[in-house]
Amino acid sequence: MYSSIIQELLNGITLSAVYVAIALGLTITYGILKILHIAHAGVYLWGAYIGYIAYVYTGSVILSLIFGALGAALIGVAIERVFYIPALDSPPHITLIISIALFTLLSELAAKTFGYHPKGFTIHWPIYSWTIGGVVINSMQIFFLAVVYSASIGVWLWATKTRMGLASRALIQDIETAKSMGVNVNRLIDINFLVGSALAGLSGVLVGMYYTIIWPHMGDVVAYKGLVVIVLGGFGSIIGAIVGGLILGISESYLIAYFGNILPRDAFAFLIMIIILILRPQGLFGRSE
Amino acid sequence: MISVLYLITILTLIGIYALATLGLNITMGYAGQVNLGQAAFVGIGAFTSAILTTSYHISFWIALPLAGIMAFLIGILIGIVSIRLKQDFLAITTIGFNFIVVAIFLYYDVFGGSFGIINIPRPTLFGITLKSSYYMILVFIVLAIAMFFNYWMENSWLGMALRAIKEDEDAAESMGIDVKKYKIIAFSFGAFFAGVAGSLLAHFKTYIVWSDFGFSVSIMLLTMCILGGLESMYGPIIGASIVILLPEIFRPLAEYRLITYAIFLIVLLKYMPQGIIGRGSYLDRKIRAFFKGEESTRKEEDQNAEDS
Repeated sequence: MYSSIIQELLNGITLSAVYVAIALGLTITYGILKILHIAHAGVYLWGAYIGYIAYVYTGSVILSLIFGALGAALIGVAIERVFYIPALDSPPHITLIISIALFTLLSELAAKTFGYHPKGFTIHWPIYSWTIGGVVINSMQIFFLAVVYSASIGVWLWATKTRMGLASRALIQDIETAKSMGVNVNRLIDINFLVGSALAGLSGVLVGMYYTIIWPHMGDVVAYKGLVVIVLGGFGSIIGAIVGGLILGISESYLIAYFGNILPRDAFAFLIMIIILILRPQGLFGRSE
Repeated sequence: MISVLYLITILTLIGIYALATLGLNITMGYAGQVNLGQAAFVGIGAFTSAILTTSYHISFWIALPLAGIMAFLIGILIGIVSIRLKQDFLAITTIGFNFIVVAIFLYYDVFGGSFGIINIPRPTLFGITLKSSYYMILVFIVLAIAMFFNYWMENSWLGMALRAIKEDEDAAESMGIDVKKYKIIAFSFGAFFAGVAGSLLAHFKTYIVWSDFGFSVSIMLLTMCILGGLESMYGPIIGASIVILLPEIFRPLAEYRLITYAIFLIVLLKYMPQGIIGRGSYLDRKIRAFFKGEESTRKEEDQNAEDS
């Protein structure tokens, strides 16, 4: 019994990894442009496919991760430059719909290019498995968790401790003032999209490696769960994104282990989101305006 | 050679989706409340009607309005939620609503789970079973009633209040308009149309399954609405016709259906946010000018110049 609680906690943390990584990217982009960037999940998806292709051609896990992250970063910045910046003056629901359409476009293009069927993504590394006090953990899981969480922590530190990260946070307050203070606003926006998208691409590749498959609709769940997480975390709050991601993943994993499927996991997440939005429209960790 | 039956099927579908889009246009177009979960209301209407007629053997003619009323009631709930939320968060709430409703359809046996509900009876009238062309006429009559309502609404106190709220909520409030009440009305009326459309769809297809009402269907309805043009009673019909006919005319497009919707939405919102005949679009201005004469054209253009 005790070991199963720990086991579920571990499963929850594993499930949370991708929520945290996606929500961080969404948070830094939402924070700056106030755009709910659903297409972020499309970036994640393409990161996974680019990483897969890189792995097929080079056979190197490291190169696969690097290409996945780089490819995703380029796609992310392209979306921001081509679609978001010109639409900044339109009402928020317009950019949201554009973003949803872009996400649909990215996943359908992936399906048409690589096929609707899942592709096996098994890396050549041997997998060792250990049982510690009834809790099972394997080397692949450790690798997955180590890379996703250290990259996420890296982005967190970048956003909250470095000069450039802090300058970006300043943008959130007021783009016009930042401009007049001589801040190169466009470059900062680019960099935030670059960092967020690279993190999404990296986690896409890792999710593919960990679950050993990738498929064109792997972004669907992530797309809307990411929103749930930033609502939980209180829009734009970076620590909120991390805590929100962990809460969602861990509670999902316990819910399924102990209560079975009352509702599908995804619907459960949305239910939580709607309840929070009604009770605390500024999010769990957000400050009220 | 196109068979007549095929043509009737297409026209019936256009009528049904135009009705659901007409509802979406009330919520999004006139009232400016974002709703990205319209397919859920269609589904609620469809399943209400299907369950009432198959399990309880209630007549279609009673089930049809009940389907609308069921969607209407749930629309009131979402409307109440919408009061507290700003635009983009309302949008994601309606997305979430769509996912939850579909999950309930899939998970509970009342809705037939993953098999859905089959053998939904076709309506009968005076002993005649309404099939093909008769059914199409029924759909068109319902659509005509809905459009008549829409026409009445445009020029009524209700329509004006909705538009005032869309333009400036605070100003509307200070003019004595009960903003909350009208926001709820906008959602529930939009949902009512969707519910009726759902019932018509269920009895047309005779089988329905949860996946008929997924989020991608909401995106399709949204495409119809924006393509046709917001705040125009003809917009939904034009939008629904194009979105349904295009993949039928250009067969290869059928395979790229979702990609087509996506590109439509992106290009429209970027370059032509008023759609084909929406308020303020080129066609809309020309038509208004034609009916109102020269003078008001100039006024209208002045207004547009001021706006931009």
